[in-house]
Amino acid sequence: MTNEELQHRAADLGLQRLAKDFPADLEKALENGNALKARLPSDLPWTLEPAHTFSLATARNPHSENRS
Amino acid sequence: MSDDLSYLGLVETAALFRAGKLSPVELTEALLARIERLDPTFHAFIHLMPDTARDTARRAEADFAAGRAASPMQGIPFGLKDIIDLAGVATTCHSRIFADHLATADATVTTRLKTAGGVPFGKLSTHEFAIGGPSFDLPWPPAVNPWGGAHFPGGSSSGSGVALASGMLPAALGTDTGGSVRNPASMCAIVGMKATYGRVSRAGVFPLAYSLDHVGPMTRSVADNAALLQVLSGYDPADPASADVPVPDFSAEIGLGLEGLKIGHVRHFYAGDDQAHPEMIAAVDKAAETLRDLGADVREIRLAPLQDYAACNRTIIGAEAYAIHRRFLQERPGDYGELARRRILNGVGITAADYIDALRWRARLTAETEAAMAGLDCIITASSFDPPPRIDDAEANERVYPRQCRQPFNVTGQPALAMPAGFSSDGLPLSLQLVGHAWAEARIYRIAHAYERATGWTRHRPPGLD
Repeated sequence: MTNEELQHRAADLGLQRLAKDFPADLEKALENGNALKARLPSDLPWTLEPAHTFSLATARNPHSENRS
Repeated sequence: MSDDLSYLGLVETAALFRAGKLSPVELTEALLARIERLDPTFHAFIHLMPDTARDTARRAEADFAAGRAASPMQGIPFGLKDIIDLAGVATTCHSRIFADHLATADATVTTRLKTAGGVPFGKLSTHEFAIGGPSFDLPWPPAVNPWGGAHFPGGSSSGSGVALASGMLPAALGTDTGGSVRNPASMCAIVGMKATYGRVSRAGVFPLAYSLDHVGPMTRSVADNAALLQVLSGYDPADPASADVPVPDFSAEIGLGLEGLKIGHVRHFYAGDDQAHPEMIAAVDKAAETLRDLGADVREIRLAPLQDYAACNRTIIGAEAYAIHRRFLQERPGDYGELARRRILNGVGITAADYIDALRWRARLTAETEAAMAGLDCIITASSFDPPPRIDDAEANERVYPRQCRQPFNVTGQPALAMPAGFSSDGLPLSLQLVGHAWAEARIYRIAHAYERATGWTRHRPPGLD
């Protein structure tokens, strides 16, 4: 990946500051992500639903407030 | 005050309190003195609270005197990994970014421990945001393993492991997303349990990856661990993943022995899919023999390749952790330590479709694991592949960090316990992992306790601390 391509990618991701100060970190992370994607199976049937599904939480979570 | 009190266990201490042979104030003072002496070397604590500890210990003592003490946690000192909220204290996540991040309420697990009469000693070191460590570029130094004296204590619940192994605390909490309770348990020769996903509330705990995060008890013995999990467990509507299921007596099967139990030995994880250190292979193989000698039917079984579980776990962590940290990475990338920034950034290129596929893969792996365990009470395998490297050897730490068998059980959500299984020729901890069916923690404790009694590994202490 050329530096220009990396900077374009960073701009798409809103990571211009990170790409300016730590360009090698971003490049390596994108490579690592590709390596992970390559291990994902390609034969998952559409009937196989994600393990973590939406649920209707009824209670107020006091820890979800006052948090930036 | 005496260092003789330093390695008293939770259950043993509770009995001494009830019998009036030891007071919570006496124990608290002894441990505070030990922390003052040892923590400048081992860095288990980010924030120590001696005044709060003394006040709470005095109240516990008064409760014992008045006959009001009912919980086994009454008067027991504990520490919290510093991603777990304690009201009025900063939850720093061991990060410059959250250095002043004041908690306004207790995490549910904190409330449970305090309500049970536990004595909060403070907040314990972690890897930055439970992922980046061991790091020397953060506002606080990394915790150091008392075994060896200059070695990696595992992570990310590093301070919890170190506080227990060095006799600073009898009980601590950690969190586990890819093995972070079981790693320090393995490296520090203590006992760490990641119970079934949904068993222990995560409300008020800073997330690493929502769908994989667990809070877990860390202790020096199996019986203590079961007692601590008892206090922590139960449905919590404030945690969307909390399961509304009955909480059994986790100690109920301890002492029943292993006759008639069936145990699967997943050897290919550590001596096939990858190769653990020869002494670690020998220790886990020996543990299988010991369990067989104790009467269990131990047979080798196969699961999916270790690398499949690891890739699934890392893809999900990557996507969820990046979502949580994206804004900070955009605005304050230089405020992260190098390791946390690099590891969290690994999720940047994972697409929504990749993430969904990883979740679907997770469902398949979980079903396959459960099928392979049909008819078995438990499986055993390695936890770490290697004894702890020196903490100042960054290359060795980077190499050793992913060499482990813990991630599969974050993917499946099954309960998994790590415990000591001997020591290397250099005197460094070796470890074993036991994994049960969902909601069957009591069976794991039964088997772990039998192994503990037969081997005595949990009674070993780091040399040179007294």
